[in-house]
Amino acid sequence: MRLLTGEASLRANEALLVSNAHVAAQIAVALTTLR
Amino acid sequence: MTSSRFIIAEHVAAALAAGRPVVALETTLLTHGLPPPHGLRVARGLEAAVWEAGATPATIGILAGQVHVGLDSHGIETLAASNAVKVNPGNLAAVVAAGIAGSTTVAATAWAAARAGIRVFATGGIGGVHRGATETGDVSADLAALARHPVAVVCAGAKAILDLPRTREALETLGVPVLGLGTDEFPAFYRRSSGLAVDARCDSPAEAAAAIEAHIALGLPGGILVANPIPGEHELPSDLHDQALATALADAEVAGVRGRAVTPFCSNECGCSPAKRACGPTRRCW
Repeated sequence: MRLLTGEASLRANEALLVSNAHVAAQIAVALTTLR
Repeated sequence: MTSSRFIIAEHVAAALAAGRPVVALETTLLTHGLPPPHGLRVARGLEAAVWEAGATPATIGILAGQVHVGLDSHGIETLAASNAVKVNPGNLAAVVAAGIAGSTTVAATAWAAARAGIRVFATGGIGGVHRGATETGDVSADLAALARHPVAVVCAGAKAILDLPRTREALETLGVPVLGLGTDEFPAFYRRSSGLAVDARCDSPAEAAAAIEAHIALGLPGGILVANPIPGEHELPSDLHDQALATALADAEVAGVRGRAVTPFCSNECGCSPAKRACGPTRRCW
């Protein structure tokens, strides 16, 4: 249970971090067109 | 803006001066949030994701008492291998004065990003109101920082171990707008929904950017939270999520861990030394 949780949470953590970085960059790009 | 204690990397300064998009990245995930070697690999992956989407990454951390906005590859490696202190607004100045290494939390990163003129910051999850806060008063400095610094913080909600309803309530009290990206609900980190409403839904990054630009143009104070749910294919099943969370909290109870010590206990934050942080695959990342 703990092993499964550790591996699963690591994968999920990485996935959400990368998704957030990608979205943040898209927002930053869009912001430059709105000034 | 750059001083002997606050250094903006040349490539970041050039991007900001030219009006090109820049995204701030924190470093607590590098030193405390993920076990080695995952922290370093993920930190590099986040920079790559920002570059690929057309923006310049600015990874923020403290080396030898200097706040760096835009650590280079060597700087990120050095920080990962150091005995970095987890830095929040309470100890930031002391860490700088001591001339040591520090990794920046959401609160410290938001401050540094705002000071550098960076408008967007990506992280995993924010801190918030801890379970048992009615007894302990333990509330993360991230919330006050979000209310204070004019930065849009993109996250997957608040850390799962926290008291999410009270965290959501605190954001509202502090006047921090919460935008849901493609969702009407405040995400719960490893889960896409929490049953808690966001202030407004945006169905694209462009729509979120328009709301952020209006916030800035109106002179509204403080930052904005952009809540981006974890990608569906990586969402933890609810039974696994709930069981793991309950187990972590029960372990804390058995170990006699209470109050503000519960979150680091459940997160297996094993201290500052890279050796101590190498907890292996059983580590839980709440």
